[in-house]
Amino acid sequence: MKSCKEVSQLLASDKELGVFDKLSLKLHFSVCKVCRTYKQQQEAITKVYKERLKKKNTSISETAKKVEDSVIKKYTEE
Amino acid sequence: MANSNKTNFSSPEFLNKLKDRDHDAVESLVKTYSSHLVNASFGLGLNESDAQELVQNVWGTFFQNIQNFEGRSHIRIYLFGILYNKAKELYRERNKHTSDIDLNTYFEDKFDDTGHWALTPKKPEEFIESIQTSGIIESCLNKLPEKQRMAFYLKEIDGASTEEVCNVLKVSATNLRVILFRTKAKLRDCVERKMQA
Ligand SMILES: [Zn+2]
Repeated sequence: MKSCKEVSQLLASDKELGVFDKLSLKLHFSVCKVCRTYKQQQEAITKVYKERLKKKNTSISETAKKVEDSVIKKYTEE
Repeated sequence: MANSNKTNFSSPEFLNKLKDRDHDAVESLVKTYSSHLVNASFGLGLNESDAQELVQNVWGTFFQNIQNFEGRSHIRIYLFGILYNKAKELYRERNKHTSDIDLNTYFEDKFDDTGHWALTPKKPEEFIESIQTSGIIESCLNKLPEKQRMAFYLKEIDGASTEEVCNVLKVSATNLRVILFRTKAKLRDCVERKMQA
C-alpha cells in the first residue's frame, strides 16, 4: 500500500490518474485515519467559509443592486 | 453555478437585442448575473467597494466586446472569465503579495522518513471551533494566487462543475485537480499556523 507521503505526492502531481491510482487512493483513505483527518480539516475550512460568506448576504445584495442600477443606466442610455 | 435564467441568454435573438442595447434584454441579463458576480467577488475576499468596482468593470468589458461575442461559450462562463481577469488586474495593481508552495519542502516538512505524517492533526471538531469566529480563513485566502483563489471559490464554494471551472481558468481537468490540492493544503497549513499564533 502507498504511504501517506506517496498519496499526497500522487495527488499533487500533474500525472493523469488512472483507474489503479484512483483505487489505491480510495483504499488508502479508507484505512488511514490521519489522512482522513487532514481531509476533514480541509472540508471544515470550506464549510465554515461558506457560512461566513452567507452572513454577508445583505451587503452582497445591496452591492449587487448598486451595480445593477448603474450598469443598466449606463448601457441603455447611449 | 446556479442557473436561474428563464430567458435563453445564448440564443442569437437575445444576443442581437443585447448588441442593440435593448433595455429589457440588458436589464434581464444584468439582473440575473450581478448578484452572482458580486457574491464571487466577496468570496474572493474583496470588500464592498472593491466588489462593486470589479463587477461594474466586468459589465463594462462585456458590453464593450459584445459585438465580438458569438455565443460560443455560455454567457455565464464568459462573464466569470472576465471577472477572473479583472480580479487578477486588481490584485496586481494593489501589489498584493501571493505565493505558491514549494512542493519539495512541503513534502519534506510534513512527513517522517517512513512516509507517515510527522504531526498528529487536530480533531476536525476542535479545528472547526478555532476557525469559526476569527478572520483566519479570509486572511489565508488573501495570500493565495488569483488562480488558486478563483478555483477554490468556483469549485468549493459556488459548486461549479469541473468543466465550467476549467473553462473559466483555461486549464485541464488534471491541472485543476493539482491546483485544488495545493490550494486546500496551503489553506489548511496557513489556518493551522494562525491558530497556533
Ligand atoms: Zn495516510
